[in-house]
Amino acid sequence: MKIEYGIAALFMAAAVVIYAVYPAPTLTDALAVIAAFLGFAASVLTWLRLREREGESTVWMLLALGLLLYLGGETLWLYLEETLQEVPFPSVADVSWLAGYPVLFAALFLEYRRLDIDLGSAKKTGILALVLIASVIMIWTLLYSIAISDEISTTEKFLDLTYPIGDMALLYAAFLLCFVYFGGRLGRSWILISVGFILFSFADLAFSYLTWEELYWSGHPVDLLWLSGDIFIFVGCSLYRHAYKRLV
Amino acid sequence: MFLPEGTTRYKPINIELVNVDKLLLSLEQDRFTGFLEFDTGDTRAVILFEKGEILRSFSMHDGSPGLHHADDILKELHSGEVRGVMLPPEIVEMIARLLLCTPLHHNLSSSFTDFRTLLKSLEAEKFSGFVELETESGAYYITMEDGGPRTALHFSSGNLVRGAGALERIFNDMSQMQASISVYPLASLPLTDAFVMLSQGLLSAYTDLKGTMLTQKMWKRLSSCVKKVKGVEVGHLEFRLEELPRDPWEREKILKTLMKCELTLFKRELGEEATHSLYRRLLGEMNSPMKEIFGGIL
Repeated sequence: MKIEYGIAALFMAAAVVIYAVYPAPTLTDALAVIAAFLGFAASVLTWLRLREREGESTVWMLLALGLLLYLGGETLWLYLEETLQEVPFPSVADVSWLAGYPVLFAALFLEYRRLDIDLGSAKKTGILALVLIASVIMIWTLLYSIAISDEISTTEKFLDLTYPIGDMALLYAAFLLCFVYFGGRLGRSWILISVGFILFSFADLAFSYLTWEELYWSGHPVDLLWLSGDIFIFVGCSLYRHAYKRLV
Repeated sequence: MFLPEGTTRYKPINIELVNVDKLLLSLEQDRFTGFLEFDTGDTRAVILFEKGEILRSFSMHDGSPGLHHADDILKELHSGEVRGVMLPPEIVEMIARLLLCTPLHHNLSSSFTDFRTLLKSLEAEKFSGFVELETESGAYYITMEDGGPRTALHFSSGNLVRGAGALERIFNDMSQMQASISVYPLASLPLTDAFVMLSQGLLSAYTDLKGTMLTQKMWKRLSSCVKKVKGVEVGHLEFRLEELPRDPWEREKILKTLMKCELTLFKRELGEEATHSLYRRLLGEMNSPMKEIFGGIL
């Protein structure tokens, strides 16, 4: 895991320096593509490591597919921004990102179902309540205002609302897994992946607010939240693979 | 230790012409009981089978057997001959038992040892263990407990005689022919300790990987798999083995059955490769003959 930790630290250090010194759209978009690729590559390697195990391999194949769609979104964003020379929102990149949500949710929920563990109604309700409270706060502080706003298009409204809601759904499933695996090395891996999704939800929320207020520009420091999310997912996926290696 | 002749299943054949994996599979399917003997000229190695499963594997050096893992024996074989011999289960059991015992007397010749005096001396010492005799006409085994004979076997030309008949033949033949006598005290083996170490090692690795909740679920499945095994009770993430039979042979069989259940579940959960590697790592921390006894399960 030393190599993966090294890559993660080096990447984040480079990203912070670039965002602080020279946040040119080409560079920052390229960083986003690299970060998404790292997460996708780690998930593929884990899938390949687990492919002999039927249920687990399906989960990791779906997770890899979901992260590939995220990578597709980042790549399209880079291409469109280079071509159009403006922030490509909404655009075809959003189709790729949005398509990633049901796939990722299916992966996480399938893993939870596969493990066939009853967490008990108290824990399940607790997790659901936590996610619902976070959703209510999001809606109350920001999303409702966006929904009733006349200043942005219906497509933008739809996207601004869908991303945070999708993030909450992913968080719910990821939290369930964290509880099931709690105390084990695989649990640590799922915690890191969940942290990645939490960072995505903060980033999506901030993006919704900034685009609504027309304060977002390509290379905005808020992008670092997505990059960090990708890196957490990269480390989490790698840790999962290494957990099995350490077993032997 | 003496390897008696039974019914020939495979005549000696060049090892290079044999696909050992297919041979082992065929023996497993036929539920073969007996042994395969590999003779390379320098080494003589034997794999003992019971109902198609490998029971013990050993190589002979200066007439004394040394236990090894079957895989270790097989990978060293490049030339020489292999033959297969069928034996009655009682004889296979006896060989398997003797392989774990250290002889008190080894290959005493009947020309200077009086067998009746030897038995009287063992009786006086309240000896528990085995007496093995090898003659031209075959092999004899007496199992003794507290100085008295408990069972007797005579095996010759594929025929097995048990009990009083066998004992009678022993005394009759001993007065007429030369014999080589070996005496083996009952071995005290830490079978239960070794099993607990392996089982706990597997479970602890599983908990470390998947956490307590999934370990408890796995334990439930393991418990239901072994709840009908004689002498075994299921506690909280551990087996209670106080009621196991005293006889090491029966004890070994029960503990191996438990370990097989545990390994089957682990293979399903962690995959075959990971389970094998983990189990081999745990075996590496054990001493002979426990390493070979539990290693044979894989």
